[in-house]
Amino acid sequence: MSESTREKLRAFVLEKTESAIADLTDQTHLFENGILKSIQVMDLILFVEEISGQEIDVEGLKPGAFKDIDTIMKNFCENRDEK
Amino acid sequence: MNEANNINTEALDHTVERLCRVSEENYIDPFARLDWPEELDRDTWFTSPELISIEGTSLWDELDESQRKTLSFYEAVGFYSINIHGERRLIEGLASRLYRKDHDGVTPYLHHFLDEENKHMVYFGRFCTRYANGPYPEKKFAFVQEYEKGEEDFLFFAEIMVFEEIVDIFNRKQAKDDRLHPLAKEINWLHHFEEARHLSFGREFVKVLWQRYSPNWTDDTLKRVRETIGSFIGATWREYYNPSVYKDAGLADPFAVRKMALAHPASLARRTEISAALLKFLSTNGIVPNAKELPL
Repeated sequence: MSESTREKLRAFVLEKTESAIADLTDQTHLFENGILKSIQVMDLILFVEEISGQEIDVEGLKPGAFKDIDTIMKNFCENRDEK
Repeated sequence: MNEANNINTEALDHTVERLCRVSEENYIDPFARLDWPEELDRDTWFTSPELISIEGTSLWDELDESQRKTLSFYEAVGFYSINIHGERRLIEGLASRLYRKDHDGVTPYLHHFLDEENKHMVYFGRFCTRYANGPYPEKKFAFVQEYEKGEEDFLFFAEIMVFEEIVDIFNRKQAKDDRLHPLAKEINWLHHFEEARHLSFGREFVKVLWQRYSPNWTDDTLKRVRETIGSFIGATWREYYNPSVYKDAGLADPFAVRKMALAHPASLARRTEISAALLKFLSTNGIVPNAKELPL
């Protein structure tokens, strides 16, 4: 069975973070809580583009668009293999 | 002026005076200087083959010369796009620092710096819009955060220096490469010609800011500043591996190409070689003592 988009996203966050994460949920604020750094937004955007198969229009994009995994799924990965 | 909060130094004053004089004596009009043909002869190189992001990999070996030249064109558009976005951020930051009382001595040179960066964007932008579908979009963001005194200014100029030191190696090598299309060669030469002054200013000013502010920073701030510089160097390099470039050049699975190229020893060796002088500067000046160990 292939990994779902959400699972890939969680795995990406866990791989990239340099923080000790006790409990990452899909509502954990990724940047506000220091899970990811702003310099990693580029990697996150490219990763979301890869798993969603769609290029993200970055003009006018607000940091809140990547607030947490739920928000990223809603903004960029709807209609994917949500489980 | 030697007020308590003023960070001007004698060495910096001399640098500013010299660079202003050279800028005035070598004023370049980007609109008149370059010839812009209606169409480009694409059967040539636009990026030196040795600087192409996948050079040295098995995928590179599989491409024929025509495919390599096509990739060299889109890598040039990618490189010019990196320059446009870096210089746009730079202009925003420089403009907000004009006539600041704590470093008013550098304002005369900031005017030249701003002018020259705008001119660079003119020819980078014209190439991307005239011969491709415009610059590739930027995907780097910086969030607002709290800083200690001097930290924001230091990081701004340190990040400019990182961006320009790397770019300039590409420019220097390509400005001398007769295989390149004359327009691409000239763009690289013009950029290097003026960036050399910006680099000279950048190194001096970064040293002044570091010496002035870092002794008062807490250990946590020092750690954060060093981590930020390291992260910025890594992110700057990752911009050079652009899936949109690979897609436009006709390479299959552009995201996989990016991962492969980033991980390949040949491209790591290239990043290491190009970053060497920058890392030595950071290490020698105590800014990032273990700079040579930073992941590139």
